[in-house]
Amino acid sequence: MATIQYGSTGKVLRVDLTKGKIWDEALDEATIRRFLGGTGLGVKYLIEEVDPRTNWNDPQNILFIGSGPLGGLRIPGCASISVVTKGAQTNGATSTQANGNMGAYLKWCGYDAIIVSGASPTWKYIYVSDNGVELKDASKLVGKDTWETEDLIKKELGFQERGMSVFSIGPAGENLVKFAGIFGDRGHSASHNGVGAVMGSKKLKAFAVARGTKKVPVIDAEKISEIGRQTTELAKAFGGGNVFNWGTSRVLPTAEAAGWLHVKNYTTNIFPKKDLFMGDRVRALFKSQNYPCYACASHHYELMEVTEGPYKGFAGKEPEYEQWASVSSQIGQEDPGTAVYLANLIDRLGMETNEAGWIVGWCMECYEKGFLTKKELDGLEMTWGNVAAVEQILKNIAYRKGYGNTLAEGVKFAAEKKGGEALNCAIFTGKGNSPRGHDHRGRWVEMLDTVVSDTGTLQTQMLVSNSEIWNMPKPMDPFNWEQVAQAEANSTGSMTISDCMVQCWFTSFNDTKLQLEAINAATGLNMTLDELKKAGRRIVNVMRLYNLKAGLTPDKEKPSPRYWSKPVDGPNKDKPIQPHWENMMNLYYKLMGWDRKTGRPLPETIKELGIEDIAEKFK
Amino acid sequence: MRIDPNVCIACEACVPYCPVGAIKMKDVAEIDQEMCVDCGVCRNSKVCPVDCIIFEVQPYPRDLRVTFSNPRTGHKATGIAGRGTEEMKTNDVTGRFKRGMVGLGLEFGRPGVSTTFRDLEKMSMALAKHGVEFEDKNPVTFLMVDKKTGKLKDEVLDQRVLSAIIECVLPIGKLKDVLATMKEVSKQIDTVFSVDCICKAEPDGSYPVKKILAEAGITPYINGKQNVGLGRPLAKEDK
Repeated sequence: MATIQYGSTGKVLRVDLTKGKIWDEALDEATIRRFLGGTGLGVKYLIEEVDPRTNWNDPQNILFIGSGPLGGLRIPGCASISVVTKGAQTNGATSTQANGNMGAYLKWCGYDAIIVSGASPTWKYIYVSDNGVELKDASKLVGKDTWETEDLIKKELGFQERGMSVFSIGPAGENLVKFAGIFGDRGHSASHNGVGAVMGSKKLKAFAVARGTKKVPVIDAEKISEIGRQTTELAKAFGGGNVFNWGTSRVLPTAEAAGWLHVKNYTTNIFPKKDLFMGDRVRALFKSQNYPCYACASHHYELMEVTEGPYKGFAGKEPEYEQWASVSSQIGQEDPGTAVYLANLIDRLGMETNEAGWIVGWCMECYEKGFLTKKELDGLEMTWGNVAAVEQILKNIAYRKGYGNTLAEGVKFAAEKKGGEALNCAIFTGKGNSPRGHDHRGRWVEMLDTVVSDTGTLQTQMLVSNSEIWNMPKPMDPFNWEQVAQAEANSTGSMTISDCMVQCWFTSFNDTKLQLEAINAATGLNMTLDELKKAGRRIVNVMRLYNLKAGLTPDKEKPSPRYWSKPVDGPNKDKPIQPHWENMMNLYYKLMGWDRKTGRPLPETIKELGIEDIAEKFK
Repeated sequence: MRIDPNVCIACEACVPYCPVGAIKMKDVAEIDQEMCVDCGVCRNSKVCPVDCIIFEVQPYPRDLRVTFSNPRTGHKATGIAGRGTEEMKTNDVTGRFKRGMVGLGLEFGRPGVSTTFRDLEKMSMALAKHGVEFEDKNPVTFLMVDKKTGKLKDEVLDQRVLSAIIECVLPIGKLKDVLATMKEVSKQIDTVFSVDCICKAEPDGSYPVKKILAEAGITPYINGKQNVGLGRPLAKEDK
């Protein structure tokens, strides 16, 4: 098999933590053509090496962390990483991405990806540089939060801030909290579906990748430069430059107005203090400093210091929209400075921000309604907006203390264990993951996406640049179940392609045409648009075949009672999704070419995508 | 100026700030050291999100770039900041430009263009042949090996600066020939330059060299650049 020469380093790094063994493995061209890279490449290793019946915390599970064919090239958004493993929340295949610089640095060190297998007897971290790879002792880092870990490793190895990218787990990951994530480069996170818990189960504290100096060879460097410029222009123009200039900092008030901001665990859709959280206001009020990733000119990501209120002087990162919402509207907390503190606390403890919000909000609602008592909550008065109690319960979860040990298993587990009325307050999906930080009763496409996604997070996105090539309904009525099913099914693969390129959505906007030009200019594979689209859909279907063997059934593809309940107020009060659910799912399955009873891709779907061998393996 | 390649994130934020277009994008931003005039605009703009633009004090002759290009730096030789000359602004007190004489200021380069001393030397040597007297309190004069020939020190010739000014004074009678020489030399020069003609106004307020300029095909833009009222004419008039 021919090793891939362009757009790739031609190899991946293998680390067996059980044996303490490190080796290189060649990457061939046929694999890239079939699985593209990033998420797709991770899925390839997962399905080949990890039996679907393996438990997420079994040493046989692998943890893939990798870049894509555009990684390390000067195209905005392409320094990100994708993590693939069997996730702790769904126990199925998962993929989750983080921005930052690790993807680029890794390729400059000469690797497309790192694949970790086995489990170490003692805590370790992996150090990759131009000069080689080492497994280093991490015993002194145990108990350190994700920011401290980043600082300590850079200090120990003698690297300056931008000279190394460190992604680590915090106490939550060490203690196998089911929604622990992997955090690095000052608060970027790959955090869905418990990938941090998988890392913890392997006793791997961190990945430390130096800024390598090897160039990634490409077939057409001039074209890559041009695509870089075009991508910047696209990002500047998309949505009137809102994301380019403001990141997600302006989303919260907009979301509230449209009825898709989650407020107090879906008990209302009104958040009167929304304007306090407007990005224009917050960035002007607090000290704010742009902190972009490699090759990116956008003002998406900022460092922030609180300048007023109870957390005056606290410095960390500016929360993303989902973080703002998780620690404000969702838990009835109305001070932006406090939100900055709590969002950073969650990052430092190393938990997924949305699940943390769902679980705290659930406790608060249950406490208010008397379903959970102060005693059950270890003496914490979980009233809406009680910051001291929130802080303590988050720590109890991260260290699995008292009731925190139950909550550490995630919303679904805790709610089902409690049962009764409390179960009806919880927001989750039947598979075990919970949604991103929105009220999806006002974003039907994303509710469907969250429920059917193979990854335990977002798998497709209705908002695509060049959406006509994905045959999106236009104009789109977001509350028309037929169009929702069509939008979700038709765009399947678009987000997956971005996750295989490992390109940040805030720069790519899933512009598949531009990505096609980019992958061809980088690799010389001369793929066609149809081939690329098919590759995106192929990876979705391969994950599904795997997950069906890992325990997924169609009846698990369902929102929890609260998740699909009728909004009690706000603009979407009279738009319940539940009555349309069955029809919507039937249509979605049909459009996807899946069997409604078994959930399995139909023979013609399997044939069209050229995955007969994989279907045979996971019969 | 230099960009630390281990820190730069290639966001391109600095690129439009460079007055001479010396910042080129490779895998990270790189500053073309020949083109860069060390003016510091990229760094002083504070636009770099990772603060990776570095200025290191340079040894002679490279340090000339800063002195001529960064308006916040003073010339060691003259003690005057910016391009390092007072021109006619203090003539009230200094009396540098006397009746019957014309001062010339040849401003080489501009932001966006820049110049090398090699180009300046072509002009200064041509002017010297007419016996002009170069202004002592001028940084270009300071770089001359010999004021009689207008020759600059060899080691400075390849240094590039944002702009630099040749200043000299000559009898009005020589102006016509000097203008012809300037026009000729201008063909050999790879930058732009403008010419200041500095004279004391006649008692009736008229401009003594207007006619000579008109005959040479030059339309002057006349302005009174003297800082009127800032000093008493202590200089002894026409002595």
